[in-house]
Amino acid sequence: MTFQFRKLTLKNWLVYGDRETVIDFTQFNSGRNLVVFHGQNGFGKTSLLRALWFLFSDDYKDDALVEMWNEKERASGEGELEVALEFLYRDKVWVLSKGAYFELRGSRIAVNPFTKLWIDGCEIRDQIDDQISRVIPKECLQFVFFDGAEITRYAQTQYEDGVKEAIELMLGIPAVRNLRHDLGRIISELQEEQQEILLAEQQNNELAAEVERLEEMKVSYEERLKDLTKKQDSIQAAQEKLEKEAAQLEAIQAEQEALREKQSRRANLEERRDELDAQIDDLIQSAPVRMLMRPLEHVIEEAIAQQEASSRLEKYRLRKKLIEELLEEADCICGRPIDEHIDTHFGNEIKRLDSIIDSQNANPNSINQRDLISLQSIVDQLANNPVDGKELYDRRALYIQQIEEIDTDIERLRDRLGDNESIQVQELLEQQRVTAEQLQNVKHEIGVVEKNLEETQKKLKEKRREVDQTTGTTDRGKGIARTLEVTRGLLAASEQFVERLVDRKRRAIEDITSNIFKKITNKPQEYAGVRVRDDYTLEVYRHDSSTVDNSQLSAGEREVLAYSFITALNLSSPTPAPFVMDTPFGHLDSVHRDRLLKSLPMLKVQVLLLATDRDLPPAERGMIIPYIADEFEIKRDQFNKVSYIKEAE
Amino acid sequence: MIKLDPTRKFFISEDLIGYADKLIEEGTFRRRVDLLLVGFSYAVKNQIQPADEYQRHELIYVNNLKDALLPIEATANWYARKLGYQLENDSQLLEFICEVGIAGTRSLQDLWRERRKSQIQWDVLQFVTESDNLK
Amino acid sequence: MNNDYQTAEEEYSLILEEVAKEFQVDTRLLHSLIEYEQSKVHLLKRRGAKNDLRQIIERWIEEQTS
Repeated sequence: MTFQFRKLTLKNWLVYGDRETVIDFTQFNSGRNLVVFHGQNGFGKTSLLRALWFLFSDDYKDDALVEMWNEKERASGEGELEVALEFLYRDKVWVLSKGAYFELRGSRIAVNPFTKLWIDGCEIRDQIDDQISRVIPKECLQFVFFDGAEITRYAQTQYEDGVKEAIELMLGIPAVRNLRHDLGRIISELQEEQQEILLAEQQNNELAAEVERLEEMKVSYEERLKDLTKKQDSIQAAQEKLEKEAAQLEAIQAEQEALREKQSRRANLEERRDELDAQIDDLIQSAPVRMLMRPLEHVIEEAIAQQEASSRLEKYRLRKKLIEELLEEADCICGRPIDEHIDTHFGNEIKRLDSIIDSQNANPNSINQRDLISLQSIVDQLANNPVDGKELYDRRALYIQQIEEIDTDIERLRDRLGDNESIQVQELLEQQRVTAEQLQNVKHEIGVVEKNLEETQKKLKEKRREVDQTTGTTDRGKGIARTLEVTRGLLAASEQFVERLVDRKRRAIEDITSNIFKKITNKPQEYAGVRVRDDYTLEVYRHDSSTVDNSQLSAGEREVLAYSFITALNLSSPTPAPFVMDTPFGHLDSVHRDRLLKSLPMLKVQVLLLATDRDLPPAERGMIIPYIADEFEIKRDQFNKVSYIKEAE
Repeated sequence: MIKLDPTRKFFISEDLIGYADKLIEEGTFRRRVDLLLVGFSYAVKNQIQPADEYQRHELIYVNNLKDALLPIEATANWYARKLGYQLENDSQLLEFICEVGIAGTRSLQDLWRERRKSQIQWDVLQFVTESDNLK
Repeated sequence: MNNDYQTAEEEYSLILEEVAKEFQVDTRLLHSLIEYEQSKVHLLKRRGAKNDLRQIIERWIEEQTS
């Protein structure tokens, strides 16, 4: 362990009074890395945390220092405040002491701050703040000295400004990036010097011009490449956005499909209903005649009767005519003479026949044969095609009901789809196609530019070699050429260093975060691990690879996720710092708390726990006893209003 | 049997025009004359006397009735006889048909009151079914 | 609880050695340059960084040739 605390001294710091509070930490050995401070709320746990922040940051102004000065001392107007830490860092003993002297000048307090640093017993007088920043950059303090309740911000899907930079700082990435940048500048400087030497000789002008031309070309290709890469990034971002939209659209599409299906079913039912409507309308139109079926049958019956009567009438006429003819003869056809009696009888018969014939002739209602046939056929047709109006009507009512039901469904689907109904799949597919095409074009262009750049760089390298040779004839030139050679090598190495560092750090954090998270989570069957995105934000994924929306995690899960991450971050930094956690388990359920506690001894760093009894009940404390190196109690002298720390009994 | 002059027009009473138009607008009947004829058949079925007070409002030509014309003429002749009317000529027959139609329609208007299309069509279909069953 | 988490210090040195070997540069030289940058990383303006680094490189070359 290359970084550990050895002694912390507090004097007049916040709740801690003028009685010097000295905390001696046991030398860390691999079995025991936990230091526990037990303290009730308001006794001074957070004051301890703030003391460490104070030591490693440089933004405390005079007013702030007065605020930090113990209240009781402040009342006297004069005195001093000091926080000192002795720690082992990269095999050297550092003693850092910060504080201020206060003096009353008139009504105001004059502040005279001081910062002192000794490394291995030597007092450092220059750039003390720089030295301190090397140990823990102030931007990274948030990852090592923290309040358990505040760390959940690292479980967000987006970081606040500066967090990503702080993370990279923690990982030691900016230093290598800066080296890459500075080496580039050194090379430019050296090459300019070479150009100067070259231009001093007339015959080298052409070579100098060629180098300059190639250099310009290189710069222009590089710029072009930068632009294209930016363009590529934005197209890819657009593509991702479209993919997300497409996923949303899939869901919408399913609903749209359902809507279309309903609409088509509705159209179908509507068509059938319309057909029935037409049938019913036809039926209504034919209703007057259909309603007359019975009278018509009477009419036809009567007509037939009339026809029979009229044939009988003909018979009567014939009979009358026969009798009249007979009366004109002397004898009857039977041979008997027609006497008076017979004559009277015939006369009566003629009268009777006349009256029948007269009565028949008087009927003006007779229907002619043609009309009768027509009527007969109309009635027959109607009788043979009875219409069940009720059935038609029931059927139509059913269709209407089904249409109404579908309308409700359609309404519901439309409500759900809202504005999205208008999103056209075709449109999206077209956009996706266009974006893919753009991306392909840009990629192609990048390929071309890269090739040109490569060629130019190759040519430039050759020319540079030529320049090295040409200018290498003088001592100065030779020196420059050699420095250039070494620096170019260093630049190439540092470029590769940055790439590998960023990549491996991210993966390392991902591995460690996943590892810790899986050990602590109470859902190990569900959660498979944590992904660390390019911007270092986190994403929990399940065993089936699906991701968990951070907002779906419980408060405790978010805290565990954040804890896993910052632990991973610290462990991935070049020199992991001791962890200081203030009330770390306040928001965790007992399962998470126990699991987190069990994971602490696995960290290869000193872990300082500032805990209330609620954070660390006796049973839980019992669990970690084998790993506790030191145990302190924060006490409060209520009468004198000062806190002090003593070793736990 | 007296037959109608195809070049004459059916008529309905002025008081029924508004009602007829309302039913046509709702889609219950296609034409005003259809309502008149349903009224006629309803009157025949229920032995309603022809209307005697009305203001004529002419409808379509008689020959527009096509296939329905003959059964209406035949029934009207028969019904007039049944009621003891002596019809002398075609114009009397036309008047008789329309007057019976008007009387029947008035009864139906009374029967249907606030009823809407579907209820009225349902009723008409019931009349038809009843006639079929009576056979 | 013996599967302790590895710290990153070794990994850092590992990458350093890897790239130094690949690009045939001196590991110590590269390391000292990075150390220098690390001491300056928190400063807003790293004034003189370029000259300091050039000096470190030139001094190293001198040491090599002498």
